[in-house]
Amino acid sequence: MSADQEKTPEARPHRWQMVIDLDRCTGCEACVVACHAENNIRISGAQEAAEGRAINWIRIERYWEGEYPDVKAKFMPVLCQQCADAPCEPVCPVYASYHTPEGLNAQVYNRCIGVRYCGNNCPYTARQFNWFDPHWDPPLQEQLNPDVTVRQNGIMEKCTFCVQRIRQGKEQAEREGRPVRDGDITPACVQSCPTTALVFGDGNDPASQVAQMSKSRRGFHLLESLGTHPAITYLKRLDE
Amino acid sequence: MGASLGSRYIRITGLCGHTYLLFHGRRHMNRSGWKSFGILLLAGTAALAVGLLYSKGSADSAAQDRQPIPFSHKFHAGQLKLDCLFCHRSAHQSPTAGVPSLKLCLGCHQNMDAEKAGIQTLLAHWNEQRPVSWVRLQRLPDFVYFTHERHLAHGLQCATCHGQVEHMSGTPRAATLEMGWCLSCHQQRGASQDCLTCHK
Repeated sequence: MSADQEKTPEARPHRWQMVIDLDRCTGCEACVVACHAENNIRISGAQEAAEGRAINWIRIERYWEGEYPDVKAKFMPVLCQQCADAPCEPVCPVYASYHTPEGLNAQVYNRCIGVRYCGNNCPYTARQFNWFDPHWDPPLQEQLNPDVTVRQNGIMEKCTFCVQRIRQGKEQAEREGRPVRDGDITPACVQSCPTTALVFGDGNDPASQVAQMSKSRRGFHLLESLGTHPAITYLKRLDE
Repeated sequence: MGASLGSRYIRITGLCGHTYLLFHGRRHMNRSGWKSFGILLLAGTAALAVGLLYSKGSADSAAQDRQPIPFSHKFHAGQLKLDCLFCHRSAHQSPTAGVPSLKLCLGCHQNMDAEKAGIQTLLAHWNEQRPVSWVRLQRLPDFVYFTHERHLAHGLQCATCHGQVEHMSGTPRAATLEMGWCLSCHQQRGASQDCLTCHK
């Protein structure tokens, strides 16, 4: 147990973490759609996607295994790993990418000047650059989330673990005079997952589901050898 | 590097062999000279105007409070001593303070001051069921998250940020509402200074 985990719920800082159970992921991409809707991610279209300029904060990586006709499709949701030692953070010349006290790799959009060094330094290609002004095919522009900035042309954007929902959950807890409970805060991708492959919570709360699951023997981190210490733990498939 | 005197110019030969001519003498400016002088003067004035506006905070802070109905905070909050939250009802339960509905205005004005021109406009709006397009004067940029509810819950007074509106006939912006101004208070009161507390 870490030093933070031993503190009382009131004194303990949050450390937001996620567990992704690959054995449960069916590759349905509900998380991708939910993320687009929640975070005002612009619609790119086939042309921009072909040019590698589409924006997705979460993507489903697809791997084919075996030889025809005995092939299997394996899926892996990849989003910002919210690294504890993030390669994207120290390279920003204007401190637009920084580490929050709660362990998020944040991007302050109005500070960003679009040098794209952070995106190039991210081993998970989790950061994306806005090459164009944002646009939505009607009537999608009517459903923009007022709690999230619409990012303009020329800046970098990334997954925030739905920080607007974290803020909301903390405010509600403060209003009710209690600490944040496990399960109070669910990012859009976690909420929409039909197989509950994604679990989110406070890693500093030893009783939380995410803290329990990340201790699993199946757990591993993406590109662990790089030493980025991600906040996302993947659980290996059972059939491996 | 050498310098030689010509009739109206000083000729300077630079280290790299370039020759520079500096205008020298009391010859009057020709027409193109006046033209460029005028352009420079215009550009300078424009820059000064923009700079002055900027130094006063956000560019729209100097905007006059021109509302479709001449509403006075000085009268309602000052003389009548109405509480801010009586009209701005959502301030203590939501991020936005809100503008009162016509119904709330009519609560008093149905039978009060109906002879005044402003109230007649108000009643006309009510009869036609047409909302009043009040001009919004306090606005934060899209990338800022601000909630009235949390600030009031922590004991801040409306006047701390909005000024003594009971002494103002209009409602000019009392503070710059800029980040430095926010942070100075957050620092003093030990509130969160994490960027993502306010930036969304």
